[in-house]
Amino acid sequence: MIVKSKPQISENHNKNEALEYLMKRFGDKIIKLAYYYVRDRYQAEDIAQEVFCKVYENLDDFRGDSSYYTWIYKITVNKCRDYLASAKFKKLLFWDNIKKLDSLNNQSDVNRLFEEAEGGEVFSKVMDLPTKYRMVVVLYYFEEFTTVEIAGILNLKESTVRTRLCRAREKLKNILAEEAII
Amino acid sequence: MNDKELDKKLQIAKNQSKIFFDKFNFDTSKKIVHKRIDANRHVKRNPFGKYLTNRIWRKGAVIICAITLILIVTNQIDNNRFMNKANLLLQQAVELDDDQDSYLVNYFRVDNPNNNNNLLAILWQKNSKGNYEIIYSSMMENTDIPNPVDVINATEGKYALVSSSNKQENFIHYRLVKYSNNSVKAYLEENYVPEGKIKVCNGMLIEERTIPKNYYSNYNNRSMDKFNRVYRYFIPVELRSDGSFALTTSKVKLKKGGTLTLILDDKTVPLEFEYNNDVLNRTDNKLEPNETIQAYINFEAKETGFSNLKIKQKNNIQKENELFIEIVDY
Repeated sequence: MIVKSKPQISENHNKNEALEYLMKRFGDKIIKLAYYYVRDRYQAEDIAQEVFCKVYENLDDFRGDSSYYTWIYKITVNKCRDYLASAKFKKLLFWDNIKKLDSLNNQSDVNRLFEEAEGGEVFSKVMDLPTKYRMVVVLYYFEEFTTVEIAGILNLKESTVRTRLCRAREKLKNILAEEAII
Repeated sequence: MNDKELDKKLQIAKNQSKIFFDKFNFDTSKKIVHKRIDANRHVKRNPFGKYLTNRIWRKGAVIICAITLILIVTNQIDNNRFMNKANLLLQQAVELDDDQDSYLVNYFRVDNPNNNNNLLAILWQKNSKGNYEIIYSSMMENTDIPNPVDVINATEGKYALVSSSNKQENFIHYRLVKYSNNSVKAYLEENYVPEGKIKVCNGMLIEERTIPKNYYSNYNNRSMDKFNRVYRYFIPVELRSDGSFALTTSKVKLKKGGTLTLILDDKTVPLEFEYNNDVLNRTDNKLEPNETIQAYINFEAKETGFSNLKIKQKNNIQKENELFIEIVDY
């Protein structure tokens, strides 16, 4: 899945051309990855824009130790983590949705806030998983990364990725089984 | 639910995600990225060139903050050094009229170029706006210990005793000031009182000091000693607006050999005195030449016994005061 070869960015290309290439090739993927984290389309787009701004700034420093995709993915993951830890996210979550949250009592209820956009089906159940389980599931099953690649992107040990995958599957089984009974 | 069923569900979820993400398109964001980059470029344009990245700017900001902090701390140290030259050692509220919070005495340490400790005593009065103003100040040279302020109550105003000590060289300075009708007047300013002690007792100021044995020649029966311990008793005498007198005490006990000094706030009024010559002797000429007294009458307590000291105005003998004096020898 990961593009191992250094993309067609020769030394003759200027930075703008390189950026154009990277945005065209990875733009949609980065938005998706950001969405997996933040579950907000507009915020995901904003994060993706920031990611490519950072990519542009650091293009000269990119040494090619990893593929562009891995490099950009790591930037995205860091941006998303920063966002989720930021006051801005908490403010958006808890103030913009304050009326809904007033009537909600637990995490699963909070996650229902996103159901309308995501359709409320199996995909939504995956997205309802806690972030650390959700990310390994979507990267492994939806984006078809290997556990080694996921470990690289998320800066985890591969064993941790495997463990999380197993636990995420168990959780999903329980959630989907309950859904079937209902 | 078994693993196969879950895998099927996950495949369904993957297809649903593809449908969901079909709506997502980064094309519209590309222009925004370029605009952001341009905006950042303008913001970051600086005379040091393109290599000054965010990280460098942040490091620079940290360094600037650190330097600023150092300067602030250094400045603070300098301020502290400066403050040491005029460092507040003691602050005491003094009740000089009905408003108890209106008066403060501060003792500041002021170092002179010889690094001697000097004390600056300041008497503050709170004005109508609530700000303190200096109404009296006095430098007390080469002393380092401020003494608490004592107050003598008078009928028209109050007297404040301000003093300081040098324990090593064993001397004191003291000032007696009167506050009355929003004004302060200094009545006594004594400096370098050897082995001096000063206190307020029963409306009277009592000073002890050590003097050479020949200082008083005619009464000293301890002439074999190298130094004598002598006592002085100061009693303020107010001349009221109605022509009558007011003393801050009416009965005193003096040590034999001591000096009673009546401090007058108006020396233009001629006075006459009646007293027991066997125990008291008027000795106006036996004060130190450098002392400053507004107006004073001195009596020597020459023998043990009792005396009523009557104080009269020469021009108005009806205005008379009496002070009962007991002289003891111990």
